[in-house]
Amino acid sequence: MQAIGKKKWVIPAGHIPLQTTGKEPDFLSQDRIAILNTGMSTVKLKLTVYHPDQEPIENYFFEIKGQRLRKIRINDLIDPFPVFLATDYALVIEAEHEVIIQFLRMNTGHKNVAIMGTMAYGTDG
Amino acid sequence: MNTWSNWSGSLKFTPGKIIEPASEQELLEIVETILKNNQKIRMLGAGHSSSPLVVTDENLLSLKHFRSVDNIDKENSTAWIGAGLTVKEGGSRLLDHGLSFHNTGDVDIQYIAGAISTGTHGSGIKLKNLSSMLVGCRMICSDGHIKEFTEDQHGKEFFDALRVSLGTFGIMTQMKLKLLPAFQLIRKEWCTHIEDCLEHLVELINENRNFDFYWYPRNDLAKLRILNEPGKGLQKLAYAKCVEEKSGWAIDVLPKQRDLRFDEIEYALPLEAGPECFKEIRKIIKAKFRKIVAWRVLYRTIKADDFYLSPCFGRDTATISLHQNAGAPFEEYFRTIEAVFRSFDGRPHWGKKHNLESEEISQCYPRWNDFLEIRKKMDPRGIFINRYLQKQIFDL
Repeated sequence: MQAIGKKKWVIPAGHIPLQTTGKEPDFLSQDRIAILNTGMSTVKLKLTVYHPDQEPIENYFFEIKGQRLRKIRINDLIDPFPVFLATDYALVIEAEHEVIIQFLRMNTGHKNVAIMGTMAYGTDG
Repeated sequence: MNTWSNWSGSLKFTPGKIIEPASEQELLEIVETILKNNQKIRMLGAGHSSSPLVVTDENLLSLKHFRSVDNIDKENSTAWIGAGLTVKEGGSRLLDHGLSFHNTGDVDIQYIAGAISTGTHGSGIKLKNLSSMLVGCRMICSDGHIKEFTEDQHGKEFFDALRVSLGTFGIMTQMKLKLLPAFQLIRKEWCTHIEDCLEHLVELINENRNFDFYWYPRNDLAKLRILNEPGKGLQKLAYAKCVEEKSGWAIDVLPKQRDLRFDEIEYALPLEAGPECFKEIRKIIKAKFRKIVAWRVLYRTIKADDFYLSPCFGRDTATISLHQNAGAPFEEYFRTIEAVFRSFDGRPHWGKKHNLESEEISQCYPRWNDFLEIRKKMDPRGIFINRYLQKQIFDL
């Protein structure tokens, strides 16, 4: 199948909830991105994290194989630097070829599991 | 003047002079001038440590050109190596002669001399720290002369003091190491939940040559790292998933290549106190430090030794270390957990962050005064100690 989607995706409303209830990692409060590569070849991605009050942090690198789905917990990013919990941030993800990216947040801080998902903003710019 | 920075960037200072002699003779001449001018000198390793052991505004000595490997004795598995060799290069060159360190730390970028002098270790309850390899050395002493010391000639007591002496006895230019015939290891890394890891901890420690685990505070998962000689140790873990396997010569599979820089605090605890201390730390990190702590906590074990200032002195040991990304805040986090370490009778790693001072640290070591006495004989004028060692550690 031909690669579909966009090469650049933006998620402005990042904010990993601080509190978690329930056994981890299944019930871990988290921000997560899901990346779908419908093309045949492996795609390299570069992620940049923006903050309200500090310089962007660049150079988080990933790969996703052809015709595969990959989920990445933002909580787990540590290289080159972690995204702190309970802190506003935004993501820009640049891909070599077209991919589709969805953003999900799970908040278990108040015992009831709340899940929110939205498409990231895709752009050719 | 050039500012010197350690590996993580958390320790910076401007030494008076950085000295990089090419030979023992050149170093002897430099030391003669230093003695004549009543100056001090501290030794520099690879800069992986983050405690102020190297800090000086006088002479900072690098032995990076001292990289010999001589007098290989395959029958007794000993060799003399230069004090400027890293664990990686030294291990690789010893392998060319069919010899191997019995263990290494998690990374191999440190100088062997620095690792030995600070009681640095790997993991494995039947394996002592790297200092245990030292059975002889050539050392420039405080009188400016070079002397050769061996355990056979100068005795166990002297070597038990020398092995972990933080570079305070003199300048070791070459070291005689007790090694092993080169051997192969299989390294397997397993992923599981931390509670499964803790439930099987005793078996994991006792049934494998090398075992340690990382706990990831942001997801409660653990990475178990197990190394054994082929056909030995635990082969299958029903509660964990094998995510990586590698085999080869010990020096090629024991350490791992790491580019991500971090600051670290590590304490050595009585082996039996390790699990309870870890559980307490896990609880505190989850309750108080989740926001800023993203990386990992490392748990290792080491066999007891007799070295006066070794954190493993007199007791089989569990070590717990906190790794925090370089540049992320660590002071309050480390200080809070350090109080927990101390409540379990912990002793700090000499080369990593800690806040202990002489009065408290001297209580950690039953042979503290014996060490100080030998140190004074070796260096009565305090040429080889800096202000940090003099005031904060030895209270001289």
